[in-house]
This record gives sequence, C-alpha cells and structure tokens, in this order.
Amino acid sequence: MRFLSISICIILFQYSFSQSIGGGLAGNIQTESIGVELRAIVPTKFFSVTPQIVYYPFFNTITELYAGIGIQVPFMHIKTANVYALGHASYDAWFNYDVSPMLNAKFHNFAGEIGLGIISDRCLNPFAEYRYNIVFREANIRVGILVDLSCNSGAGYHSGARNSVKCPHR
Amino acid sequence: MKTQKLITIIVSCSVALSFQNCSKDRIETNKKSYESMNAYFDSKKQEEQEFIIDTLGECPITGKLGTHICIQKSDLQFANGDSVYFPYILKLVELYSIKDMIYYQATNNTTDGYFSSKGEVRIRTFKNESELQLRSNKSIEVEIKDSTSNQDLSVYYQQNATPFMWNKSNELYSDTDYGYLSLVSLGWNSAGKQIANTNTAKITFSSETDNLETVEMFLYIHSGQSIVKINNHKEIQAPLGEEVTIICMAIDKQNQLYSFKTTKLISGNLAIDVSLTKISDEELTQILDNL
Repeated sequence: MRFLSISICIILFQYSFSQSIGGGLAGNIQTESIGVELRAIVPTKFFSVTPQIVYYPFFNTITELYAGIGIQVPFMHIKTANVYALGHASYDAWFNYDVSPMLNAKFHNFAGEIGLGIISDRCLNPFAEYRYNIVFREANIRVGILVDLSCNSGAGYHSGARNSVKCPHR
Repeated sequence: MKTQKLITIIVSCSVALSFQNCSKDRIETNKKSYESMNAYFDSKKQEEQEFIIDTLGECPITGKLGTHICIQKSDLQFANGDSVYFPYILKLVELYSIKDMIYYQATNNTTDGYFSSKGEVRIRTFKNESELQLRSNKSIEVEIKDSTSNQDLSVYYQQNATPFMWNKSNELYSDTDYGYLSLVSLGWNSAGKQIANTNTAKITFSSETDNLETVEMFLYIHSGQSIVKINNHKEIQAPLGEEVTIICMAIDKQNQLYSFKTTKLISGNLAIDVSLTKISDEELTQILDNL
C-alpha cells in the first residue's frame, strides 16, 4: 500500500499542472487480469506527459501495481479524436510474484510499454489504448475517461469555445 | 502528411508484431508436465495373494515371499460380532524390496520422519465379500522372513492411506532364526526401526525444465535401506553424514517414462536441480532393483 500511496501523491501533485485527469479500466490479455487506473495529462508543445498508476487487485492471477510516466505523441486527427503513439516507463510492484511459475520472478520490477491510443478532444474525453509491455511481453487494453480541466463549458461534453487550452493531441 | 502516413504504418506494424510476441510466462509454465504414475505403479505392484482357509488348513500359511501367518478362526468376527465359519479367505500383500514398496506406494514415511523397514505386509480376511475383524484382544501371528535378522524391531502400523504414512507402535517384532515374529492386528504392518531425525540437513528441489508437481520423488537412505517419498515435491530433511540417493520418475501422456537420479553424501543443506530424461521401463526397473 505504500507504493499505492506514493503513486496517488504523484498523481495529485501532477493535478495542478494537468489539463486532464481521469481513470478507467486496464485489461492484461496474457495474464487475464483486470485492473483500475488513474492518470493525468500534462500537455507540452509537441506531446503530452501522462503520469499513471494501475492496480490489478487480489482476484486476478497476477496482483500488482504499476506507477509510471508515459509520453503520448499525437500523429493523426480524425474528426473530434486524436490518434497517438505512446511510450510508458513504470515501476511495478508485483505482490504475488512468489506463486508465479516464471523464473526469477520478483517483487520490484521496471516495465516499459509502447502502444497506440485514441482519445476524443472534448471536455469529457473517452480514450482507448493498446499497449505492449516489452519486459513481460504482455499486451493490454486500457479504456477510460478523462475530464478536461481547462474546458470552460462546465460539466458535460465540450459545447463551445475553450480558453487558453493547450492542444497536446494535435 | 507523408510523416503521418509513415508513423501510422510504423505504429500499425509494431502493434501487429507485438501480438505475435506475447508471452504467458508469468502465469503459465513452459516446463514439461507429466501424468499420474498410479496406473504404471499399479501395473507393476505385487499382486494380493488369496488363501482359502478351511478345515484342512494348516498353520502357518506361507506367502510366496516367505511370510508366515497363523490365524485362528475363532479370533475373527463379522462387523456385527457374529462368528465366522469355514471356509473364509485370507488376502496377503508382501512387500520386501524397495522396488515393491515404491510400486505399492507404501514407502517408509512415518508421522514424524521415516523408518527402516525389513518388510511390509497387509493381511485381510473375508467371508462372502464381507471384511472380517479380529475380536478384541486377539491377534494374528506373523513372521517376516529375513535371514540376516539380529535384533528386535518395532511393529509399525499404517496411519494414513494417502499419502501412505506409518506409525510406530509399542509392540515388537522379535528376532528369530527365520526373521521377525510378532502378534499383530489385521491390515498393514511392518517390522522396522526408526531412523533418528535429530541431526538433519534440508534438501530442496527445483527444476528449470520439469513441473515437479506430478513427478514421483523419493529419497533412499543407503545405510538404513529406507525409501522415503517426498510428498511435497519441494524439500525433505535428510540425516547428516548419510549417503542418500534421490530418484525421481514421471510418465507423460504417451506413456514415455522419465527419470532423474543422483547420489549425495549429506554434509549440509543441499539444493538439487532436477532434470528428467527419457528412460525405458527396463532401465527404470533396473535402477529400482539396485536400490
């Protein structure tokens, strides 16, 4: 839980810099695990920095927590959505490593992921990602929703002008 | 636009390639798994001998491996206490060799370690398919054959069936010219001597190639001629200063046998990496014969 607390603090710290914050579900195809994630998006001129934590709870075959930072590089705009390539580096606390048949399984791990995602460009932004963990060689799917904190139209989908909004996905 | 297309192609190819290269290493093992050896052991184990006891019967009955048994009809009863009339059937299993104990899966494990056995026998009696009991305070006379007998031994009785476990009793098998003689109960019993387990070292087992959960693993202690099944497939305490042989055996879906054997002098804790290799039935039998 110490790692979870630290990760949440990082996310909260990022909150003040974030344009979007939200969460969703994570599904690891190979380990057949489902987890929950929190993430923020901090835009820069050419890409977005995305601190994220993902927790795969006890009912999964693999119980673990990832905390890391990703980079999203948009390269295509389709109507109101942006398609982006992503890279992500994270620390992985693998809680039940001791029951895994994998050789040299251990609690502390570092993971790197690459992938592809799509996100809408409104005030409430659903997103979906396909990611590949190059350390464990596992594919996972992420779906969730992000709230655009810079959107000035209140709750609900973006309905009009946005003031001083950086556009990380374009 | 050109750059966008290029990135799209690269990313699409990366995604497609990543699908090809996924691994379930964290939840599935690439180690070879095996089937249960029960059917193989059953096909090789000593047959249960049957003796029809009638008015012409003489004492002792002699099993094919030499066990002598004397039993009085009047000492037997049905489960409800009724008396038994001739004829009735006596069934006998004799296990004298290490190989036979392995095949019958009646190794020398006790509730608090292991013992050295000079012979294991199972005696049961039946009348019209009903298993008979001994009347209270009655016993049967059993003499286990051993031409090298030179001291009294303890009587061990079966404690658990699965896994097979013995328990030392306060009764004795007395040293005789023929072997060991005692008055025992029906069921499994053995003449043996406990092997001290106060000064031991831990042997741990692992394998990078084989899933040991379905592998039959045994520890043979040379000086005590004791065969112990490693029921947890992971570790066992072995007596310090003793020479032991670890023997592992397995069978796959195609009935191909595999084995691993190593002999060690126990001078401290030991980690053994098990790697099973193919072996023929004849070769495996030969290994067990030589224990």
